[in-house]
Amino acid sequence: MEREDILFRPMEKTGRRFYISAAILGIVVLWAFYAYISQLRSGLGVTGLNRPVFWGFYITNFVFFIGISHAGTLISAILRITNAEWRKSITRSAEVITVLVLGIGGMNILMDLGRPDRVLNIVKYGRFHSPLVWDLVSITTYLTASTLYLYLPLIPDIALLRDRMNGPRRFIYNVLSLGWRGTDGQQRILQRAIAIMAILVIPIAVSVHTVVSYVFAMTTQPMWHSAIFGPYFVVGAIFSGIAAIIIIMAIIRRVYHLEEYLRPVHFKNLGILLFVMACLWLYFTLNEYLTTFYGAEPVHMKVFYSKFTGRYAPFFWLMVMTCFVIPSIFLVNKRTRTISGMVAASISITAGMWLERFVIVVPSLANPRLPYERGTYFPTWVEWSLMAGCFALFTLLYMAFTKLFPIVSIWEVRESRERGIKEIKERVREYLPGMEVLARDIMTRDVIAVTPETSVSEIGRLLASHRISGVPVVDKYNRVLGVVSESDVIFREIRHELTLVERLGNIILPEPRSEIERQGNTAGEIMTSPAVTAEELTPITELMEIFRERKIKRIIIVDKEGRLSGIVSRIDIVEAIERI
Amino acid sequence: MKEERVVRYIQISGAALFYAFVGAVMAFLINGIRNGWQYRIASSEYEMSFSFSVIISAVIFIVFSVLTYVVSLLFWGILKDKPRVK
Repeated sequence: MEREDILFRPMEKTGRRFYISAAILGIVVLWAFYAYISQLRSGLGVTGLNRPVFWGFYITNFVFFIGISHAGTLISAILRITNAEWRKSITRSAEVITVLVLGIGGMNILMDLGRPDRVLNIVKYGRFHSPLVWDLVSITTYLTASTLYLYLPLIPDIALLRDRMNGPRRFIYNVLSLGWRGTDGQQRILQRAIAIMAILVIPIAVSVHTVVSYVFAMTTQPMWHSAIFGPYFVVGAIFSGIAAIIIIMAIIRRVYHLEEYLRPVHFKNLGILLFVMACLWLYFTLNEYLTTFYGAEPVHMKVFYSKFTGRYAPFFWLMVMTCFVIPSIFLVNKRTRTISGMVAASISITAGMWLERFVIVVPSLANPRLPYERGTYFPTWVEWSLMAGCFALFTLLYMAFTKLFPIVSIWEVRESRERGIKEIKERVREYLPGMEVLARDIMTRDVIAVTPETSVSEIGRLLASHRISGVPVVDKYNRVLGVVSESDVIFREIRHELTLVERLGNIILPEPRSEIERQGNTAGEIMTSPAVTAEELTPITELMEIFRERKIKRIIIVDKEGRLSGIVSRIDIVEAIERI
Repeated sequence: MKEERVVRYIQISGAALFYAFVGAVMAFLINGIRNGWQYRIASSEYEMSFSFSVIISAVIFIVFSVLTYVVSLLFWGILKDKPRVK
């Protein structure tokens, strides 16, 4: 099996486990759909939403999913721009997360609307000083850009699938591959498009979560009206995004046996990023709560105490534990900094970040600035069902993607491998000058050569007495004309024994067809011409390449005028490597 | 050859769909500016509305222009590099 076949396998073979998982997830999605229909028929009264807590699970999920969306495009774009080679195996799986969760996040807004039929009003009558319109605009832009950013590096892989598949799937891949054939012109265009998109999506991604935070921060609700909400949300988004990537990477690594591509080093690097983001998240959280506490405004303090010691304290402290304390234990300790440890930390963070969104949304609404009575919020089965449906739908769509497209960017990994080999060669040359061995350093200088007129029997004697396997043939100016090997001599002796020649065939004759037609009594008549030659300054690595490609036993070394200088045999290469 | 022609039509339809989407976004921006202009006249409370509309629309216009450029690069650049179907 070829090395890359494992990346195509999910698209070529689908096991029973996939169908069973898809069926279970499908049932959850259908149940959620039923719950939504119930809500649509009876109105938001079937949910736990009320006055003043008019935002609950749906908006929590919206902020959570939009946050997760930073997993892919932003991280992928930053790593692409910084030219981090290790990113190539993980970017695709991250970019898919972005596109899917953006759609699911947007769906939560629709769920939160009592009259979703009026959603078009925001398009028709929207005014741009409303943060809700900013949200619509930035999320739509981000979704468009992310989809394009996912699609661009997919094109060469889709073309690979097109050339591999048959039937209707081939037709679809044919459409999506845009006639990709990997020509230089196409490569140039694709690289340019990816570079443009990588730069463009970073500010868009940052703007998205900043704008999501403005939906809260631009109001005067207690503990929402905060200047640091923008960066706080962006940090939280990247934090939860990295955690989501780690979980999904671990799952696809295990399910599709991608251990060779999703290596511990990927998890280790993402784990470092995760810990940095955990520290940043703690820093912003401290800033947010400390300034509120020192300000001590009564309306803010009501929310503050409801989180610290009141009704929402269990959620708040569980959030601190799951977002910082538990992950830190896993990420700081060397023994637990394994793939399983990272996954455990990431699951903890994902749960913690959902709680963080909940702790931001609900307590502020339950303790409003306006003189409403203090509110309470208990989600109903409809909200739980829709939330479960969102997670199930995401998993289902992700699974479907892995069955249609390679989850690891094949062409980028291939390109990376080739570049890696080249870089290693250069580094060896730079750091180990001993490897810069040239042909002139290892060649045998006292070469026994013959002229075209030398008889075959004389050559046979030379080969036997000097225990060598071939001699170069030179003219009177010492220029190499060809080479006579032991095979040539042996063949000449036995050429009349047709049965024997046929039986020995490839064993003694490197090129049987041409050799069979070659007959004569002198070197000039039986030699192989032109001989395989190399110049004195040829590096040993190139000589090795010639030996490998031409399947020969010796290379004749010549000077710039083509005159015989020496000879390098396979054993000379082995001895040179041993010396290094 | 027939399949190639169908493929080409679908690909060009995809590009057309994207351009239509960009057109819709542009219409949304223009409509937003118009709304802002109307509210500017109607009430001083909303006098910032027009400026906001113009600034945000300008940013989104630039972003979608770049996206359109990238899509055009793909469709007319990569497709162009393919033998033509007669």
